[in-house]
Amino acid sequence: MPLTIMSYKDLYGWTMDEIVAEIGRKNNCTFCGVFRRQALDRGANLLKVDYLATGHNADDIAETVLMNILRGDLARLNRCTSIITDSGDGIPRVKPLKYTFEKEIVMYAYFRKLVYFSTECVFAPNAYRGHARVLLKNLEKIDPAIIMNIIHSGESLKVNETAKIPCLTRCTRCNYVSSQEICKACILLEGLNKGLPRLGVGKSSRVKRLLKENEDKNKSCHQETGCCKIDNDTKIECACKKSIALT
Amino acid sequence: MCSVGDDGDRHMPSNVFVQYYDTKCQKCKLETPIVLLRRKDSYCKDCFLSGTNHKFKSLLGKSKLLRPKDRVLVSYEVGHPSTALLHLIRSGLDLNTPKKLRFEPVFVFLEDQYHLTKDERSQMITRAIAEAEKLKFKMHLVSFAESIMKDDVTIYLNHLNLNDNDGDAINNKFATKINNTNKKEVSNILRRNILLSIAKKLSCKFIFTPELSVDIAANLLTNISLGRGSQVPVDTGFCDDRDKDVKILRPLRSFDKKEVALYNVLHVLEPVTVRQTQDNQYASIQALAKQFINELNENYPATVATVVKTGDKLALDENKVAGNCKLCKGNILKPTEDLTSDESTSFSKLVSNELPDHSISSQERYEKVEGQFEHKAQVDNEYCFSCSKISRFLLSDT
Amino acid sequence: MDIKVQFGGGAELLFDNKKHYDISLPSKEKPWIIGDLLFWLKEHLLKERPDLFLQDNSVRPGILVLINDTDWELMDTVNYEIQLNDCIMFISTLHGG
Repeated sequence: MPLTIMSYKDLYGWTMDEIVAEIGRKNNCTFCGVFRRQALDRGANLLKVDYLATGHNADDIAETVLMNILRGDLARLNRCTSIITDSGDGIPRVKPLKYTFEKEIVMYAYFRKLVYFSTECVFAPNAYRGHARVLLKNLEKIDPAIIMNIIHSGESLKVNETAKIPCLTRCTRCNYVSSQEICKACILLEGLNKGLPRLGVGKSSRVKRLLKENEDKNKSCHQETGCCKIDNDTKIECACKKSIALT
Repeated sequence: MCSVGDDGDRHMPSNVFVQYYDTKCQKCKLETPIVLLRRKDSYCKDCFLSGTNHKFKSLLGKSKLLRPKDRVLVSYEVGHPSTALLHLIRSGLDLNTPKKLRFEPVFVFLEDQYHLTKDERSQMITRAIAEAEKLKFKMHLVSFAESIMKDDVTIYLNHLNLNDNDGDAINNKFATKINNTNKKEVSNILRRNILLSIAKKLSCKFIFTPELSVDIAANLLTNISLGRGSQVPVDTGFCDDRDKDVKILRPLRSFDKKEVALYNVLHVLEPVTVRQTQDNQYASIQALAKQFINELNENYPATVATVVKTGDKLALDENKVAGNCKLCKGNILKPTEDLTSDESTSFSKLVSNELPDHSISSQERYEKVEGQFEHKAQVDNEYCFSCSKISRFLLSDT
Repeated sequence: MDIKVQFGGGAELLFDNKKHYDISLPSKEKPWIIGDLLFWLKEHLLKERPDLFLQDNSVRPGILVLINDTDWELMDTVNYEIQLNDCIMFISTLHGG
């Protein structure tokens, strides 16, 4: 089967090692998650496929249901048990192994003598997801049926509020499908490249404000004399008397 | 596998100690605080007490369910929550302001502490009666074991018949030996049914049960793990209205252990306490969920509140309801076009029991099995998903 | 140093069923902090089920601690330095039914 390899370095100019070196071990899940999702979508687009299949198994789905409950993530709770999800760019994602237990997969690989690698993420040994995982494994010890029970519960849940369905548009920088003007990946990258590691981690409204502040800070009359002073107002006047309009 | 778009640790453990010595109560800003709630809110004595009272009354008032003279069956359990609840009700009734509580409370102790000796149970009951009496309330008594043996409820005053083998009564409900999880599940369902019977016998339109926020959160996780996701709104919400005549309300669901304990200390109330069993978290799903939630909340103090809030936002899709379960009275969902986990398990069972026929190709084998499988969603019209699993063991449904 | 220790909410069941204790803490080099008192209580007064009272180097979650009627969480919990005639109360919320 043909294999195409996408790398963060090629797509974004940063490896995870470099990212973690820059931002430390907190919030690195945000970066990796966003970048990985985009990488998958870009790969799917590149290869002009009709569907994108991921290997999420029953244990993963059950774990995700538990985690979304613990963190109160209703939007994700609503979607996470669907076999097919629409990501907005015309290439739906499918999880064909949704009802397959991790144990079955491992046994299948063992009997078929399949070579695979299984590693723990070295960057996030203490990710919050770990708590959901421990709970799931302990529940499974008492009764293995709970995995399917949890998935069933997830399938029967209905979220009360109409989850805000975001309007999808295209990122003005990289043209990726996004609900915001500038997609999350671009914001995170901007943060990395400008040495603002917390940019993009948190609410988008805060991000917009930070971006604006940062842009203002860097506005200059392009003189090398370092004469610029920034007002908090809409009009800026450079000390050398050349006024600069804010876009 | 890391979830795509994961947010890392959003809930930060707050192990950072903040100096509170010179701060003031955050409500009145005048007095020195005496308590810190939820690791961040500090209150003086008066503000704490008035806040607690207000929270209790507003929760009841907001629901707009209680009318003056409505009779409410208050289900008593030993411990801080019920002690506080009784006192909150008494002080609410004694008020002479428009905010006075106007319903008529009726108290019952549905006794099921079978890990204690007969003597201990007898003492416990005496203390419970005394506790209620001190607040000028009458305590009714019902034996859980007797109720399920007789299939009928008898309400006593002053005295209850206690037997050493009361703990075995529940076993008689089952055809075979079952595990602790199912036993607890059925006990909870039966308790609920008994309380409803008591309420009807005592002409009550409502029942109050003393669950705290941590109990709600643990019950939510338990329900999810038992496949009772669709029942979460009624099982953990403020109001359980499965019965057409009696609604069950949970007035303490926004309170945590510290609040009720401190309320009791400040009012010099000693709750009735009993010897605890050795907790083994692996004994049942219920025990595990409780232990897990308590532990996680220690490190991430917003956990319980978040889980409770998540539960609040889950609702029942009326369009999807096909009927009510015979056993738990919860909703049975209509079959859908989509494949469900239920079906996949049946399919898996079918395939696993088939001996592979090697005389035909694997494609033909696959088609043969697929042909045998009927895509029928849950056909059971009598039991919900979870109860259908237990019903096999039950001798009869009550 | 003389102090008062009180137990309630069922915690007394672990301490010989007594709710009030008048205690004289022996003098030592460094000042007595609550953390030290917990160990002292375990050694001298705790009669059963230490798991329902202690966890790691603190009280088990579910035990409310009041120092002179004030929440110990407002006073640095285990690191609070005990003063003469302090009244320290331990209320269990674990002994429910």
